[in-house]
Amino acid sequence: MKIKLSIIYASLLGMCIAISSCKKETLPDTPIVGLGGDTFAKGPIDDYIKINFTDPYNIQVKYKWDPYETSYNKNITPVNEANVIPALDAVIKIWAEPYKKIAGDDFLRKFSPKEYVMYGSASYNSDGTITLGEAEGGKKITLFVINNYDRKNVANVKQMLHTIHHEFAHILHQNILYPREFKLLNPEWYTASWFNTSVADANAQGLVTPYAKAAVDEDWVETVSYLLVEGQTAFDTIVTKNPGKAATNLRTKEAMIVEYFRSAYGIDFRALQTEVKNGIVLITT
Amino acid sequence: MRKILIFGLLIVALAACKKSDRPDQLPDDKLTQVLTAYQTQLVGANNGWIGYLFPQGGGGYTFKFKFNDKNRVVTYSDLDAASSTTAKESSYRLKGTQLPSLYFDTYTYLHKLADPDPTVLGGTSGSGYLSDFEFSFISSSADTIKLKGNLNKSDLILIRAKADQGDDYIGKAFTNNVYISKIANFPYYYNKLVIGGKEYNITINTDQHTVSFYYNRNGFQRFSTEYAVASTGIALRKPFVDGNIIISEFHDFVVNTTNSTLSMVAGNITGSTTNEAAPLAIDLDAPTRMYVAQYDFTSDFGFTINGVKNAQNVTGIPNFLGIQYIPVYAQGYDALMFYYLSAGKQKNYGPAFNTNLTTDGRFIFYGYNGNFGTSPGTAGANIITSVRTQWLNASGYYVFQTGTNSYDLVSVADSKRWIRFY
Repeated sequence: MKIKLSIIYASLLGMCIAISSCKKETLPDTPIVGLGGDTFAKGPIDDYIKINFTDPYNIQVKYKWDPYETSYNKNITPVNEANVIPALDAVIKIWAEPYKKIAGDDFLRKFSPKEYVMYGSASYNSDGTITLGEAEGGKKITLFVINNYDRKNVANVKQMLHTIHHEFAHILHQNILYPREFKLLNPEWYTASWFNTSVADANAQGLVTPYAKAAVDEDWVETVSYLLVEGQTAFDTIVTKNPGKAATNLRTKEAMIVEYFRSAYGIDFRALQTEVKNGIVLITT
Repeated sequence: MRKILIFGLLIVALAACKKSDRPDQLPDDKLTQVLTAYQTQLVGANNGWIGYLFPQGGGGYTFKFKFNDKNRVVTYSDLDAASSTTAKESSYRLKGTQLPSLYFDTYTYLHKLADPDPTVLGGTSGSGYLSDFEFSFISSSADTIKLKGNLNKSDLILIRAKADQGDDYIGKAFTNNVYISKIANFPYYYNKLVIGGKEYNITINTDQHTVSFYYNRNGFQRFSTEYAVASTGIALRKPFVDGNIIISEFHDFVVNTTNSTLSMVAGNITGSTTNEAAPLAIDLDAPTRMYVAQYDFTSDFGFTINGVKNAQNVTGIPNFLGIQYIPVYAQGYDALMFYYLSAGKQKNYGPAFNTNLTTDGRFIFYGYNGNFGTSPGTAGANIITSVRTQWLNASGYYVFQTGTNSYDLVSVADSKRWIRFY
């Protein structure tokens, strides 16, 4: 009897499976909410971005608040709309167009970050420093403090463009690494507490800025950015003020950078410096 | 028995085999519907919405929002005179996050409270006033929407504006708060409120937008809450309840500066205050709470004396920034530090002293031992000396807490002299 019962159970189970597996599956046709990004009514700023960034270089510019593009647990504010186009103008004139002129459209299309994200305030860190920009894996550049942008304020414009050239230099060295010898120039100065160094002290140690002390990669991109944005004259002043090992190191870094841009990307770094300088004059006057 | 078992199993098996359609609605459909419904509701208010914001960092602020169907929102706020009458347009969007959310996604007045840069509106460097600009919908009815900040958990309540609450509404609310702030011009600090046959000391802090009740009922009682300003009155964030007295708002304020009286209506009961030299109740623990709070208390105007704000002209110190009372400042001393700018750099200067917390609920500052910091020059130092002389008055101060981190210190010797910290 027990055997008989188990046969009945088994056949019942089989029937059940058979029926349910016969059920026809149709996929829902409802679109997933938010798939492909948020949608909103387009305005003049969106048109400007399409014409100047998305169409020519396939770059997306996000200026509306998105907490998940940066540290979502920090107090950061979105951009003031009035500052978006002026700030992006500077990005075009001081970063995109100089590279376009010297290295060509294809170079920009290949290496340019695919996404710019803009935030109004700075990103405050727990160690008391503030972050002005971030770059991720050669894909995205995040710009902070857009709300303080003022094109008439040369220091302000240079600060923002310094960030962009800094991050773009990261992308370039992540594609083709700078000479290994660069890492051996001043390894003794790299420290996590770089922010305790003054500009003068950093210069005296043969580094262009305190942040260059953060790591060897940062040293490389800070020097590139400094030569482009702050300019050759400012760089020469640092060298003159800090003779000895610091001056020698700075000159060595400069020579490595010029050679790297030529051999890695076929870019005339001196001409690029001139173009960036012209761009800054154009924007700030 | 076995037959029953078998039949039972058969029924279960058949039921399980029954073809069933999907749930009536897919989650994505539901979410889209909810977001659309909220958007329609926000856009549908012809006169816009009055927003009462209570940031996590304290205080209460009033806004007016008008949403349109193009993701644009026009805002007024009572943060200052200009923003109460000049509209600012920015953008918003609804987003399906863990809860359906409303994002104010470009900068407007609302964001100033959340700005981590203290040069924008003050607050703490890195977090501002712990406010929000992305909110989750908590509940909604036709005319009221309750939202909660996603990052700092601030409360935002949107009330559908009525036809008579037009674009000048926030301007009226701002003027209303300025009107109420005249009570600080009464000579004595203490205002005794008589309402519904009961008596309270009441302090309306029009800078921090808080209202506090102090009274004795089985010992000292204190009730403080933030308020939001309306065009004709103030709405309390939490109602004040004492037996049969329930106060959730005050309206129809009449400030009489000649007699130093204030009358106002809560619900339908009229209350009135008289300006008194002595307190009804003393908060014995307040000095200790303030002293151990580990907070740098700021005062913008120093002492109010006989109804005159900034009586010792502390703002006359060249490039004056503010005063801070800092318990346990350095070397075993507390400090009353005056901050000012000199050649673009922040400097400070102020007396070193000790603080005595008495059992009868007083602060007594004593043992002056020179100054910390760098003198702002003779004229400025003279002002600081006059504030110090008042500060070190031997009879000390009663302390009244007016909010999370805000305290008023009232001279025991002369209640016409008091100083407000936040």
